Amino acid sequence: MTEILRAAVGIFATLAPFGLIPAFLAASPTAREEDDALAARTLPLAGVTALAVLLVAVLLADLFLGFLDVSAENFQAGAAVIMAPLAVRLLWSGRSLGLSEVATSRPWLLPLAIPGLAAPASLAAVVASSGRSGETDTAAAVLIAIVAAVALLYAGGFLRRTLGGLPVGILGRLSGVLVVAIAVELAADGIRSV
Amino acid sequence: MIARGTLLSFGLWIVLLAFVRVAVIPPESCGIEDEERIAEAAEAAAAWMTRNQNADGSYVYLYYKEDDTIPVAYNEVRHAGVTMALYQAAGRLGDREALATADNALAWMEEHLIRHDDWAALASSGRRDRPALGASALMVVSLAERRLATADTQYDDLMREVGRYLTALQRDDGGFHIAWQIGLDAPDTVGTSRFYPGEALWALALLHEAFPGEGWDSHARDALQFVTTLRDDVEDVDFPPLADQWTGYGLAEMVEWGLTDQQIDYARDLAGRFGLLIRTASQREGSWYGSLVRGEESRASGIGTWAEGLAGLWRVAAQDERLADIKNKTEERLHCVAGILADRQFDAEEAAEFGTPGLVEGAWFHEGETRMADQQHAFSGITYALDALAEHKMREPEETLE
Repeated sequence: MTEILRAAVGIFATLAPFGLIPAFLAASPTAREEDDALAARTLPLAGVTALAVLLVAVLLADLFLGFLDVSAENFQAGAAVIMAPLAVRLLWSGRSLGLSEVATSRPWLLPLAIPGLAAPASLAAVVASSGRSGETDTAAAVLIAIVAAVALLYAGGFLRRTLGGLPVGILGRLSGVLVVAIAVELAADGIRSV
Repeated sequence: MIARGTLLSFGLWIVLLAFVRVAVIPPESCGIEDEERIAEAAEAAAAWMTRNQNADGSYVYLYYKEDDTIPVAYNEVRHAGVTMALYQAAGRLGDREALATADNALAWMEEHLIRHDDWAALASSGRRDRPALGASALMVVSLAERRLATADTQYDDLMREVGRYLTALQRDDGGFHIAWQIGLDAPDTVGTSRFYPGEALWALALLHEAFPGEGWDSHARDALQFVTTLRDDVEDVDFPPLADQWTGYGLAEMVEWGLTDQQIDYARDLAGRFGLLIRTASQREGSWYGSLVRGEESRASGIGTWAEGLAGLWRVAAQDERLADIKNKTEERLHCVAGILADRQFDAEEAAEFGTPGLVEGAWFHEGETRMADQQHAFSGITYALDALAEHKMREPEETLE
């Protein structure tokens, strides 16, 4: 259980839901309570899509590492580097997506599910975790992380209405710090492992 | 505008992923996979050591294949190390030629002993006034390996005598002075050595295994305590733990005595260090850019020591539940490192192109030179890596030679 929770925290960090709240709210621009109904419709779709993509990544992780001729331990260092752009973006702007990127006809798919939730950083985290903790534990961790992220996004409208934009931005930047910590831990674990 | 931004973002990701592939995770290659071919490499290495012994019992220390020359150089610590490997070949492979060669080398060591008080120490001609701890430690290991390979007890008193040199040099903190200064009749209290403590630790553990109840185990335990808690600081090791294969051997010998949690943690870290070194070596082998970004390839002696150390730690993992989680990964790495070594060894066909094929076949070269330690460590590393793959938890030979 500890291993699953550890993996879930790492994957949750790379989903960076606090950094997605501004983009999500931009997709429901009035930011009023009726937008919560819109969120109730779109978020499950985004969550399920991202969950499906990440679970496929879990299933294909071994094949992918074999194709690359890379051990899971060495991949962890690569995954840490792949997380760097997300961390920089979160630390810089508190957002993991630009607001202009939500101007699509199906925002729940593009960009909320991909590349909002299922992004290079979370895919790398999932592949690394699959090598480290095994497929079953990682799949469980992905499920926990996605549910937590979607719940946070669902609460995004409420958070902005009650707290205002600034705290959400601060939380987004703090999640950048969390991504950095996860990346460093991942790389260090890869270096220390057999 | 959005399309351009998306394209730019996509392009940047391609650049980043290409960078990650080239600089961070180049492909890994583990050379030869077939275990029989890997075992042949160990036999060829043992044959090199057997073939290249001088009439006085010493070995060819250094050889340059391009100009077919053997420079004048020797080292008694490595002499003891090669002899140890040959006794391992006698025990593990049932190689009688290796046993005879090692016995000649043992006679050389006996001729180079210095006796003082109640101890004896191996000293080279050039350093007879201060015999190095490491040489005597590895001489004890050689004698222990001979005893295991043959069940012959004729050298037991000599083992104890040389063993007493190790205890004479042991400090209160479990560490060791590196030599006794014969002229001053006192230990060298200034010099230190990174690897002598590990060698002495293993030798003391083997002494206890050979002669239980004589008190060698308390010296071994003190040495292990020093190695696992103080040595990295004393030696100012930049990236601890020091990649010391002798400690791996020592831990493997002592695991059945019971190790503390701290010692198990140290063993885990040490296994991680060997694993990282092996993974890095496999990246050098995997692609031209891997060899560029991972730097110069290591000598076979270096790679062999990683295999020896990790094989020792595999034994710890196989016998102590606290390390059971690393056993499978350890086997993977051992297979990989043994395959890399086998792949890089010079075979008979390649050797035929040089002036003295007998000095090339079965050897590993680095920048045109081979040292006897290359064959020694590669042999031991491959042999014990194969042991791990065959699930041989005990290092002792299954049958003894007469």
